[in-house]
Amino acid sequence: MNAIEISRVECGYGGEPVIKGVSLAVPRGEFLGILGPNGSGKTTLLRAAPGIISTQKGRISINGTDVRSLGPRGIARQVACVMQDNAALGAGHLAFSVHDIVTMGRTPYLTRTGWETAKDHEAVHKAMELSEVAQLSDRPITELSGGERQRVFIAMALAQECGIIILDEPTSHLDIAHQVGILNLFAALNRDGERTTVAVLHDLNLAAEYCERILLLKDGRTAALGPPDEVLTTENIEHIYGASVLVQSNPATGRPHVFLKKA
Amino acid sequence: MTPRAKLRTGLILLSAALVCTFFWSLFAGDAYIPISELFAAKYAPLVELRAARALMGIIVGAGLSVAGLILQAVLRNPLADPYVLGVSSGAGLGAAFAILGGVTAFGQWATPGAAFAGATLAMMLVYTLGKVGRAVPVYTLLLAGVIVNSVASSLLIFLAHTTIARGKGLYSVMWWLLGSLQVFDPWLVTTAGTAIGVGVVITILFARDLNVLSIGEEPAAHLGLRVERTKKLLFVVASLVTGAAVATSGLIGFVGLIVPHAVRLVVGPDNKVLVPLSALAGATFLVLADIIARTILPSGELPIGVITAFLGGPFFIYLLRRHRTKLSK
Repeated sequence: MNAIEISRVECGYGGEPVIKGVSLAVPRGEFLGILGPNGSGKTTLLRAAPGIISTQKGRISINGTDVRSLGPRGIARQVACVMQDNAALGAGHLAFSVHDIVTMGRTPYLTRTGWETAKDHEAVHKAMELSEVAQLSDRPITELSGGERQRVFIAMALAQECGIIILDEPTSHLDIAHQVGILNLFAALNRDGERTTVAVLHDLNLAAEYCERILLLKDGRTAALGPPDEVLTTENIEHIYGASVLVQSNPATGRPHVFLKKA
Repeated sequence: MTPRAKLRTGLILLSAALVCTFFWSLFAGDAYIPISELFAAKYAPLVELRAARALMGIIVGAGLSVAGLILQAVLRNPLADPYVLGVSSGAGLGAAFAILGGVTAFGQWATPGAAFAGATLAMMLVYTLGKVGRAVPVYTLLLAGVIVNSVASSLLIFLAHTTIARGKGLYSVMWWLLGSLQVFDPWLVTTAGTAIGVGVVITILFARDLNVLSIGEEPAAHLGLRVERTKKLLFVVASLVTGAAVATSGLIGFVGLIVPHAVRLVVGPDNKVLVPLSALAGATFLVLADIIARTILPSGELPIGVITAFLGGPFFIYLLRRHRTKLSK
């Protein structure tokens, strides 16, 4: 069964759709990257997948069930998201502790009147260990650096204990070491073959290294879909991004690597 | 300390404080009552009057604090408060319209109903004016609040001036504009008490939603919240509670700002703990403020709104300065 199935979806924010008929099936356990120029609809597609924005046409299903019949809580138990602006956001004006924020990841399982159970505490603890924020547990989120903060929001998403993780440029505000650190974490989580990861990434080379398949979007339509070495070709990138590039394979990993050519 | 332990300890301490303040308020005031004679028949009318006043302080104080908490979380704005954002003036204008305009339809429900309608309208107006795209920046929201506040206040004065001829004095309107816990209508107090009680209970049930919303709407949606529906409900609760408070006691400002922030300083930002404790602390605070209002002058009493504004104004400046780096973003 596919973890996510998107068939002929059109969606947007009212008016002209941003996504104009995209179909995509993500099998369970895959690490899929979504790439494309600015305004190609990457984030819109990510927001449509867990039903944050509704589709105008087409159908989206999560583990075989239509998102519309799952309901927001049902979806939040199967799909966790880490969005790009979390690191900059700083969690507003309130000095919630790291532990408080990660515990919010349990929201889809909690009732209005009850407190967190031992199972919730265990999930929170495990999530903090995995994203290496356990030592920050009591620190207020407002005092952390951008990189630490993003790790906290990753822990929050992990505490949701979902089979599907959606990432929207999770590393865009971070330096290279933090970028690699975070992507290594998701690659490791993905390795058990149970967890499905769909990530919008800005950096073509990071995407080439970490993704099993890449969806290349242009103007809300699928421009290419396949393994990195088939999608990230000189012709594809020059055609879609309009930049002159040279693609060679990374001597360390054998994955394609995109070099820019100065005009 | 776990949130649960914090809540339990806080509930015990604040309940004790509230009970003590309540009894103190029975003694405080112009006329002296000896402790031994608190229940004596000759003092019964006075004690009853003071008890009713304290009860009203409890209702209004709890209500305004919880309304402040809701607005701060949903709008992600540390300076939000029903008074600052003009929701109270909206309610005041509605109530004044019903009272001074001589609305006879809906019977006794006219005043609280109009206050609720006014609060809701002001809430919607401030939110719409303050919104920029999908975000609600801190400063535009405050400016919208200032505008709604001053327009509603001037309409109120206008209404008062044009209806003096009907025998309702400007002085009484001014008195009401500054707030007072004097009980004119026991039915109104019971009604407001019920509305605020319901509002506080709903807010306690939505404490987790408030937590998640104060992180942001997008993350809240990803955690399974129906964001728009929840926001609407919470705005209605804030308007209901504010409308009820204003209909009975007039415009008592800054309670929703001072109390939640003070409690937050002690117990942290978790609304599961904060909502019930702020309700209790707000109740205690307003009864205390009323004791001051009744005893600070050698004779007569000060409007309670003067006391809360006197404390709240400087507190607002303090918050503004403390948050300025984050707010300017």
